[in-house]
Amino acid sequence: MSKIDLILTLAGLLMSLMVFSYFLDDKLLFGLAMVSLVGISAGFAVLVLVQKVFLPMAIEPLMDFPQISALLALIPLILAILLLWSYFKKSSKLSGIPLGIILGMVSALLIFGLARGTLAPQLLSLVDAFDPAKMTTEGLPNWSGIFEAFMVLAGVLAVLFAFHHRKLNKKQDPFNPSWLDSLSGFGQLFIGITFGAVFVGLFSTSLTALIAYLQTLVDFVKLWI
Amino acid sequence: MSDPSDELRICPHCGQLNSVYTLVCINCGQELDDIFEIEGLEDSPTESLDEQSLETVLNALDENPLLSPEEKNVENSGEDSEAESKEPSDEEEPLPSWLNKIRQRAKEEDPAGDLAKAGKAADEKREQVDEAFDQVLRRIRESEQSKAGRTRKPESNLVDENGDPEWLRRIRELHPNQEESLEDSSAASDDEWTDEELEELFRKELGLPKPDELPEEAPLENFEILDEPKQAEEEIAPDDFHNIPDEDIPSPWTLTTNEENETPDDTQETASSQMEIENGEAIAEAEKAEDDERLAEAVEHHVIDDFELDDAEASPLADNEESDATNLPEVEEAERRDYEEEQSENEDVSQPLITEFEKEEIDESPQPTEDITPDLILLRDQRDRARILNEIISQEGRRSIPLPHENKNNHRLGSIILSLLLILGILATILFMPNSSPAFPNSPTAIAFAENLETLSEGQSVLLVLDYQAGSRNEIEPLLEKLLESLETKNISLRVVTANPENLWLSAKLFAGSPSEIEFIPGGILGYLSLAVAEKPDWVALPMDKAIKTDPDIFAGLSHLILVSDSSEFVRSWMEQISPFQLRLNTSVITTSVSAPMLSPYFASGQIKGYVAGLSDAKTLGVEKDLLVNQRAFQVGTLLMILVLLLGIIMKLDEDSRSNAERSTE
Repeated sequence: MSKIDLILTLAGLLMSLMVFSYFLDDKLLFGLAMVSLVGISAGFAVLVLVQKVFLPMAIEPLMDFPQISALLALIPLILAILLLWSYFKKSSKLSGIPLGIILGMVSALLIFGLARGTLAPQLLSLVDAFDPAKMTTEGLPNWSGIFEAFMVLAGVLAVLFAFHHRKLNKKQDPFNPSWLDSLSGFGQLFIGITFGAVFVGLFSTSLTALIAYLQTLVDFVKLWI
Repeated sequence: MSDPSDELRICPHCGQLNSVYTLVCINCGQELDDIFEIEGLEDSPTESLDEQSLETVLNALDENPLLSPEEKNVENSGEDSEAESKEPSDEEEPLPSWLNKIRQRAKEEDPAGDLAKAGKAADEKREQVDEAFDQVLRRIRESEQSKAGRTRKPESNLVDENGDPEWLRRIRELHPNQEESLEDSSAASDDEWTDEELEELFRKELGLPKPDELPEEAPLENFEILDEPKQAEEEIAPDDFHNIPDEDIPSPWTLTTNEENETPDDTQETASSQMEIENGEAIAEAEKAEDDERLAEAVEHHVIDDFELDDAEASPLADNEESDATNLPEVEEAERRDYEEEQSENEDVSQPLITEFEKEEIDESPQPTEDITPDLILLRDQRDRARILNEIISQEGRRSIPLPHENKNNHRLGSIILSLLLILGILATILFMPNSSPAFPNSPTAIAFAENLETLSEGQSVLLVLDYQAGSRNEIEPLLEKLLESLETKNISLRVVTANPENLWLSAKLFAGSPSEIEFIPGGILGYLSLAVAEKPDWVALPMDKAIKTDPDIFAGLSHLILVSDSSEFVRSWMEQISPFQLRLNTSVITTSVSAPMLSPYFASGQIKGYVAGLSDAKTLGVEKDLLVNQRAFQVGTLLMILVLLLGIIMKLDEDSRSNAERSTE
């Protein structure tokens, strides 16, 4: 183990103990660990952005002035100055220009990407599930494929109805549930399964990280024993 | 109409009557100079009359028998009856013959004057009875006046222009007919009760006919009345109403009849015994009359008390009972008991007169406020508001909603115990359990990822996009390391880009011996989009070209795209923003277990050719166990967490059942 690795391991051990001190109702060491993490990450990000973004994309093109590339580089630079101006004068309307451009562009991209990249392919996939070629195998019905197709269709409809019915559920009589309520409950079952799977994945990832760091500490201690 | 004597005046000289406005006597011409007499001032008699005329007037006054004292006449009539009979006979008109006969016979039969004494005693008894009767009437009047004064007293501050309180107006609206009777009674009570009014009221309450409606065969002074005193008493005229039986009245007719039935020897004895009997009967009759008056008063007050809120709870009869009990002598206690019994019967009879609705009205009426200052009187709604305000003030400072961190110490202790249990379990497993290879089954997505990777051939280019955090490096980097080995084995051209500055140093160790270098794409997903969409113009260099040192067209010549990310959001954004412009690329994903469920729809739709998620899919790629975390520790940790989850679910269900039980009991 090199000296750098040793120093980094000791620093990691110290930081881990500071984070674990939160269980002992300690705020100071836990706060110091969090501040250190955020500060180091932000400082590193600033260095990367200055080196990888501002200098090559905003400053260096200006050296070629009055070329077109330099003029084009003025546009993001002016927008950046306007956005930075809002930090000194919050009531300035000029700072709304870059924000408006960014938010408008992002919103348009999200809507377009959601329809083009998620909604349309998922609907086509649902329709494709009922392809006769998939529902038959050598002239015989593929029951598993049929069941899967109908379950996917039922799951999609139930989940969509569950979200729609959730808004209208307050206006209905809670003591007289209708078949719509049952369908909404069926959709909530699919949603519950999805969130359960996400929780399992989250726990699995966290547990893996915990085991890995404990393994590292154990290995570090074994080196000195 | 004025008296004529007031308009005439006598001439002092000739006695001629003259008008008061004449200045000179019309007979003798004497001046009537007292025309300027001032009212209220009398002239001295010496100025108008001389001494002779004054003596004449005084003598005339002395000789006038009407101005003689009455006692003198009474004494003379008792002791010297003859002189008395003679003296007035000289000056007065002659007595009638029947009176002379009566006096003559009285002298013969009662020379000692016993009969006269008996008559005098009867007169005294009558006066006593009259006095008792007057006393009863006076009590009734006083009680009526007190009741009338109390009803006129405002009960609250809310009075209308007539001075009537609000509750009384409400009752009047509900009982218009009874309100009229109340007005009548209250109007009558404004003035002092007269005997006629009391008799009329008594007759009205008992349902007796008016005197005008009495039959003619029941005359007032009929002898049959003596045989039926009660009937005669009921049928008696209002002007002659009294409680004394007719036989007690010393009329000449009764004296005559008694004189005819009694012998002269028994006259004195009979008179004394009769006096005693009459005395007792007179008292009894007076008491009975008083009871009747009370009965009438009770009936009357029952009607009035329906509208009187002060007397709603306290019966007026009780007041009368108390006053009577204090005023009546002890001898009348027996009579009072009879009266109470009669009163209770009367109450039973008159009780149905009060309906349930009227009781409610009475209950809702304000309480008596005689002893309360009007400024302190509160209406019911004001009292309710005050009570609610009092409760709010009393609850001030109390916590009604339990705070989420109320049992913070207990929760913190439990968290510490669970965390220590988990850490100790994992440490014990790491220390004492040997590492083993993962025993997870191969997932379809991992198999698809491996198959997609097998399709790569030598000379193809693969774009590797890095976007993961340091916390998930132990789950991703073993897979990424195995992928790099496979790509290097196949001699695949690899280009590595990232928009996350953290990956510049986090993944540097993996690519230390690789010819590929991690390139930074500014702008995140928008930077990738600009590179995926925009076409590089020939006449100018874009700012993005300055940021990328190598070829800015990162998608040029690629056949496969591998996303290495621990965020499903990044993968989804790539699928939505970038993939539509690069449909020809076979996209695969290396991700964590957290993001795996969110990527399933994209795999099902064919947008993702395959993905591997965490340690569960490491076996599919052939990752050695030394590169992975301790699988035993992972299994122990999972088992402990499952136990914790089950215990949490059980405790939550128990807490919910308890809370539901408490709600149901409340």
